[in-house]
Order: sequence, then structure tokens, then C-alpha cells
Amino acid sequence: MIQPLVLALFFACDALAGVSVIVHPSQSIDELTRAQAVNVFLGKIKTLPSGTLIIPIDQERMSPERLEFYEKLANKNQNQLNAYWARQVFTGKGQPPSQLKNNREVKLLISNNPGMIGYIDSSVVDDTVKVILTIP
Amino acid sequence: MLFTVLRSIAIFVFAIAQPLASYAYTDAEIDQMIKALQQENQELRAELAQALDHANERKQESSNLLTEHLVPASSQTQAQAQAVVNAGKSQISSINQSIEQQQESFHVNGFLTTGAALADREVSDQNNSFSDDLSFDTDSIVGLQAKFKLSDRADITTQLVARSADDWDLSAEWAFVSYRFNEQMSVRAGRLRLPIYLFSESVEVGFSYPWVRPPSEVYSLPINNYEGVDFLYSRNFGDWVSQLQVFAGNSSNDAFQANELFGANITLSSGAWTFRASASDFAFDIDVSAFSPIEQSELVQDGGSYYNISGMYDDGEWLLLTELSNFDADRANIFRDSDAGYITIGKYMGDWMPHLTIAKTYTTNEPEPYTLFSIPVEIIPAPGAPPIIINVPISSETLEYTSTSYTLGLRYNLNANTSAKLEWSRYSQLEDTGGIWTNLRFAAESEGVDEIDIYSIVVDMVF
Repeated sequence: MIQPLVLALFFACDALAGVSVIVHPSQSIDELTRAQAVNVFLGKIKTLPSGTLIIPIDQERMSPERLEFYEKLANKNQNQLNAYWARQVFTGKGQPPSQLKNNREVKLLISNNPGMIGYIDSSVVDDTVKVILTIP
Repeated sequence: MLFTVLRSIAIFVFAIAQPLASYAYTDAEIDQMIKALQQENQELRAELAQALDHANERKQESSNLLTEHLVPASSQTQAQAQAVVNAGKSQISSINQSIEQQQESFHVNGFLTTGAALADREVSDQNNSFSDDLSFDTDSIVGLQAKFKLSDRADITTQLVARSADDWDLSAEWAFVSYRFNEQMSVRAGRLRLPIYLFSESVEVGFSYPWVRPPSEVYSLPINNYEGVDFLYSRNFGDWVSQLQVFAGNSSNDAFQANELFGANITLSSGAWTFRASASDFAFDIDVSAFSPIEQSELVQDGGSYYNISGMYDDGEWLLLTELSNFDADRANIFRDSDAGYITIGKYMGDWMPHLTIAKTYTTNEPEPYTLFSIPVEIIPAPGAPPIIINVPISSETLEYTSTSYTLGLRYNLNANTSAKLEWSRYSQLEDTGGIWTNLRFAAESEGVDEIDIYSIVVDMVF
């Protein structure tokens, strides 16, 4: 009886941690608005407000981080997100961002690439990356 | 290392000095000393080799930005450092590999719609036909798109589509080369889709919009593709993104030949909002026989301008869509000036989305009648009397129309890539004009028809 409760609490906490949008610490930008983050991750813009080119990195297709990120940022579930990308892909206007397996991979890649932007669970943020938007 | 060297020198000096001091050593003692020296020699070599390794590793570290920060503080032992560096290197390289694999030079995507439609009488508009029997032809379609990367700046994209209505004949809806000047500007050349309406370019991908098919009142243009070029330019201002598209080319199909067309559109979007305005100009040569129920080939010159404004609000809870279009048939003989518009409201409820659409279209001018052709019509003057045949002229006057439609639909997401849609549309207030239904208008069958119901069910998928 206790175990499921503990598990439920664990997942509840996990889901409440929020998502942080991260860039390389050398990026001059300190803050990104939600709308700008949507534009970057939906491929509508290819640069940060500062003008630097940026490549968005996604998390794995059905990962809780990805579900949470797009639910909270753009209020889009997987089906809505796929409908958006279908419109981009089949009109030759864009491809969805590349995906990485987990928070650790995204953090490692972003911490080593000044030209990339990603998002990770807020609980695993450290000083190897710079947080420019927190989605609680 | 210094310590080892000093120790070796000490042993060596000792070995040399000993004989001088005592002048008497046994063979065994000499052997022992030699062994000790050899051992020290080996130790020295090993340390040298290790030092060399370490130096090399340092060199690699400084040249490799990716791994530099992974080398831990100097307090850690060499072996641990080496292990971390190796692990970091292999992680980064596997991550980079995974990114590279996803950005490979070849992408294939596909879409599929399979469905059935039923109308309460046989009708067809410029793009779709409905039967009074359950028909699987109207909406069933499959498409496959391949994108080849030529270089960092150039791609080739082709999209092959097969429709049930065309007996699954394969046609290339898109086939173009695109070139990016920079991250904001690109040009495409080849076979492209006409970007007239909000969903023009993805009209075949049912998964990308809420309805079974976009409202026919607005999506009425009979040509969908052209051969030509387009130019895309995007810019962002704060939270807003704007995209400008300019195109020019020509297009030919059975009914519309040597069409010269050009136009431009601009899209503004931010968060849930999207606004779009487009203007285009067309010059047609219309082959009347394509509409005539009798064989009578005649080319009629036609032309006009098409204006469309549209707006979308999609916050993930509510979906609001509206498009208004105006056709100004300033050089037209057949087409009339017309206005069209629709408004759709939908509510996302988990995997369900009920939606309602009201659409309207009507002709707005009374041009000089232009006789296209005459069709023989059988008339029975009185009960029992022999039928007489009279020729009814079909003129542009006949092409006056008005139509109002209501569509109630339900979209259900079977999974992240698949949706099922159920829809009921009522086309009413046709006022004997036939409305959007060209088969009624061109065959003088619109008299007495004021209402048409269409039922549709489809499954849309992308892969």
C-alpha cells in the first residue's frame, strides 16, 4: 500500500519540477520570453533575439520532459504538435529539431555547444549550462 | 620522477664507489647490484612512458574544447582523469553521432487518409466529387515525401501523391530544389503548390487541420500546383514572426491551360495567434469542354485577382479559424466576382475536438452574359405528349451562385500520429443556383435544389 503511494508522490514531484530552457554559458542572452521559446522550438525563427544563430535540440518523442515542455510552453499535446509539424514538413518549410535521449545528454551537448539551445528538467540544472527561461 | 632519478644515481655512485672502498666483492654481490640497477632502469622507463602519455593527453585536452571542461580538478589521480575524459569523449561523440544521424542527408515522411463519404445526391465542386452511394474515393489519399540534402544550403524535395479518385495514379505534387541564402531567406524552384489560402499548401495532409477537408466555399480554386519559383523571407520582431512569400509561375491541367500566375502573401504569428494576407493574379485559358456535358472544345480567356485574409487562434484549448476571400474577375468571361468566407470554432477536450463551421459564398456582379455552350434538354410539354428537345444556352449568367453551409465535426486522436474525423455538412440556401456545386450549375440541374447533406468519416495519419 505504501509503495504505490511513494511512487505516486515521486512522480508527482517529478512532474512538478518544471522545465528549464538552457544555452551554453558563453551566450550573452539572459532571458527568453515564452513566445520566443515557442518560435525557436517550432522552427519559426533560427536566431536568438541577440541575432546569434541557434539550433534547437529536442528530447525523445514520448519522453515526459518533451510532453511537459510543449504542454506547458505552447499548450500543445503530442497530436497537436505533430499536426503543426505535418504542416511544416509536407509544405517543405521545416523539419522538427533533432532529439536526444535524456536530460543528461541534452545538458552535456548544450554545455559543449555555444550554438545550441535545449530544455531539461529544472531539477538537473547545474552551472555547466545557462538557464534563460524557466517553465514551472 | 625526480626522486627515481636521484635514487638511480645514488645506486650507481654506490656501485662504483663500493669496489673502491672495499676492493673485494663476490660475484653474487656484483650480480645483485646489476639487478638493482636494471630494476631501476625499468622503473625509469615506465615513468618516462607514463609522463609522455600524460603530455600527449594534455595536448589533446587543450585542443578539444568539447572535453576540456570534463577534466576534473587536479586533485584527481591521472587514471581517474583519463577514465572521465574517455567517458566524456565517447558520450559526446555518441551524442553528436545521434544528432548527425537525425540530420542525415535523406528524410522520408508520409501521410495517409482513408475515408468514406456519402451525399444525398451526386454533386461535385471544383476539387471534390460526392456520390449518393457510400464512396471511398473522395478523401482517400496517400503521399510520400523525400528530402535530399545536396549541401548545407540546398535541398531537393519531392512529394508523390496517389488518390483513390484518380485510380491511385501517382503524381508529383511537389518537386523542387530549394536554396537558402541565409537563415532568413530562401528560394525554391520547380513544381510547387499554390499558396493562396491558409491551408493551401497542406490541403492533402488531413492530419494538419481539424476538418475532413477545408471548407469548399473558400478552397474553391481549381488549380493547386504550378511550375515556377517562390521566395521566402522571414523576420522576427520581439515575440512576433513574419514570413513573406512571393511566387510566380504557370500551371496547366485539363480545364485550365497556360495559366500565368503570380502573387504574394505575408504571415504574422506569435503564440496562439496567426494572421495571413495574400493577393494573387491569374490569367487562364479555360477549355470549356472540361465542364460541358457535350463535346465542344473551346478556349476562353479568363483572369482575375484573388485576395484572401485569414486568422487563426489556437491556444491548445480553443481553436478559432477564419478566412475571407474575394475574387475580382476583372478579365474574366466565365468566372464572376465572388466573395467567400468561413468561421470555425473548435474546442480541444483531451483527445476529442468537436468543431462547428459556418461558410458562405456568393457571386457579386452581373456581367454581360457570355454564352459558353448549349445543352440539349428534354422537355415533356404536357402529360402523355411526346417530348420535345430544346437547346438551353449555358452562359456566364448561369454561373451566378450563392451557398451557405454548416459543418459539425468531431476529431478524435487515436494516437500522436493518427486522428479519426466524423463530419456532417449541410449546404443550404442554394436558391436554385446550385451553390458551389459546379455539376449542377453546368448541367442546368440546379433548379429546385435548395439543400444538400454530406456525411464523411476519415482516418488521417502521418508517418
